[in-house]
Amino acid sequence: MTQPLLTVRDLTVSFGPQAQPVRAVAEASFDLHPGEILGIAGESGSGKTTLCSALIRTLPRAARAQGEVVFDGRSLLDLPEREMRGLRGREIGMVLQNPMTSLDPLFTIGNQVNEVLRERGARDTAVEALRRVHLTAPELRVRQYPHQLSGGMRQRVLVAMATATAPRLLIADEPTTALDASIQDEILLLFREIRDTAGTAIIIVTHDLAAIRRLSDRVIVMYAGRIVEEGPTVRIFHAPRHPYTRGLLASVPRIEDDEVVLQAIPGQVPNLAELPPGCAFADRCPLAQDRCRAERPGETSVGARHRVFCWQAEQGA
Amino acid sequence: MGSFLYRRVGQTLITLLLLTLLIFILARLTGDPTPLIMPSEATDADRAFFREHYGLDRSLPEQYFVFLGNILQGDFGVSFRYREPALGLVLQAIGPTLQLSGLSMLVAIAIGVPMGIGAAVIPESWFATSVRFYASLGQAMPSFWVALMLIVLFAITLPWFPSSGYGTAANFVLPAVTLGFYASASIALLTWANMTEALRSDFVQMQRVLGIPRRLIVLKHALRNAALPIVTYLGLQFGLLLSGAVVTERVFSWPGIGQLVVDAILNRDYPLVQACVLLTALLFIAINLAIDLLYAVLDPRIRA
Repeated sequence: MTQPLLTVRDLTVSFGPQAQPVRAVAEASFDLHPGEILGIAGESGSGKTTLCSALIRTLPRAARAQGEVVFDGRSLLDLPEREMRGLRGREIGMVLQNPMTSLDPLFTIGNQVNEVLRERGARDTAVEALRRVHLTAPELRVRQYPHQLSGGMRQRVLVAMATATAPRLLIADEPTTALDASIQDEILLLFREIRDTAGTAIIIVTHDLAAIRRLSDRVIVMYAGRIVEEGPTVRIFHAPRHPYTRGLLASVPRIEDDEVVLQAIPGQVPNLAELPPGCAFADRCPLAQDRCRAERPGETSVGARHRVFCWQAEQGA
Repeated sequence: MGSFLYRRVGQTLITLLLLTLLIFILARLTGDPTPLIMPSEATDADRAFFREHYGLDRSLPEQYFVFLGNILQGDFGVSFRYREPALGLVLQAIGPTLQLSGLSMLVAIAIGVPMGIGAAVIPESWFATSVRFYASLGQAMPSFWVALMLIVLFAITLPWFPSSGYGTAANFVLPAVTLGFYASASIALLTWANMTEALRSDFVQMQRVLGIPRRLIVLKHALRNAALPIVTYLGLQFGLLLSGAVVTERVFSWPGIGQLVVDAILNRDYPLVQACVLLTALLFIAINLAIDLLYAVLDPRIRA
């Protein structure tokens, strides 16, 4: 196994008073290897986005990040802001949630793409950069304004900007959520192509399990700020071990006997400020026992690179 | 862009027509000018002659249409008091007023905009706190009082600038600071609010993760987006300066339109009042039209 590109150890992001912190992300640990696509799944509020922001240090002022994030031998949480800025965009690219509003409405596409290219000292022209992400008629687009482009086109522009100098890590936060279903596939293919041609490692964060299944090599499932299960995509989708992962997979609408089946997980995501001492999922878990409510589950290895945080993991496998 | 222009100009013309009616009626509401203009020893026949001469004996609708017809020919009538064409008097006064309000605007922008940007970039700092303090001060102090304080401080105690008059560059300092100070307060607050909002927008977040330098994000992207509402406000503020200058012009004996209109109203000099108000309004409308066009230049979404 190659050296990991990104190593995250016990990453915790907390808000609020020191004495009673609210942990949006708690003790997250994982590795990412070069050229690997990692999917992070979870409901809204599970800490996915906060985790990404913590990685590239664009958290709101009020947030405190602890733990260790090592990217290519450099500890990102300790890097001076100046060096961090040099990394952002250059070595770590990021695409944010909403392509509709992530471009400045007052400047042409060409102006904004060129700004990024100039900043990197890239030799590409804006047209070339846009052609690389298969934007149709790039010569025309560079003279157009964001409002003249569709959501899918804008997402391509953003991907072109984020990958302008072939970063080694690309973080995509809900890259397809705001797009039409037919466009989603094209964007996912684009991510795969970027990985295949440039060897870029990609973290894709989404609540869209279908997207993760199609694209990623490995999956992390998060619940209430914590990683609850991590494993190869095939394992997670075919042999999920955490009751939450199972619930999440079952909640995807499917068709059985000509009927659409929608199976929601009962209950609600707990308030991060009032988490129980045990497993955060215990209240909604069909397998929960007294131990689950009293004691937080530790890591259990359930196969090659497959780990789960659950006391009941041995059951029902 | 073409239809936008036509629509805007059309609206402007209707506004102007309504304005003429309003001014006409308001001027009549101040009362009959005859006793003020004619010497007290004038006979009833003299007064009747005066009324007849200026058309004051005719019905109000009739007077209005004559007034409107004359305006369209560029004839705003002759001032009762100065016995000169009202238009000429107004045009003479409008220069100094425009100079003063224009300079005040520049002062206000030069102070207010950087303050607002700074406070938005570093909120919760001593700088932001001082901006808040400055803004409350600027909005709370009436301009006549500021004017008097400036005269006491910088014309009497420290005789650096003349306290009144017009003609030299030094004459501009105190009135321009008075008006600019007031306008800069609200401009600072507005810039602050809009910059804060712009800095929170998704594209700024995106630019941050793209590693675009902060200087570019703040001064190019956030400022240009924040500028749209600020520009609109500047147009209104300019209008306020034109009318708000009345008090300041009196305090500093500035030979502007503010002085002229106050005198005209006191003397029930209908033609002069009408000319003053109408031309000020015209100016105000022209500025706002220019602002709208500028808006279209700044925002590609409006041009479409």
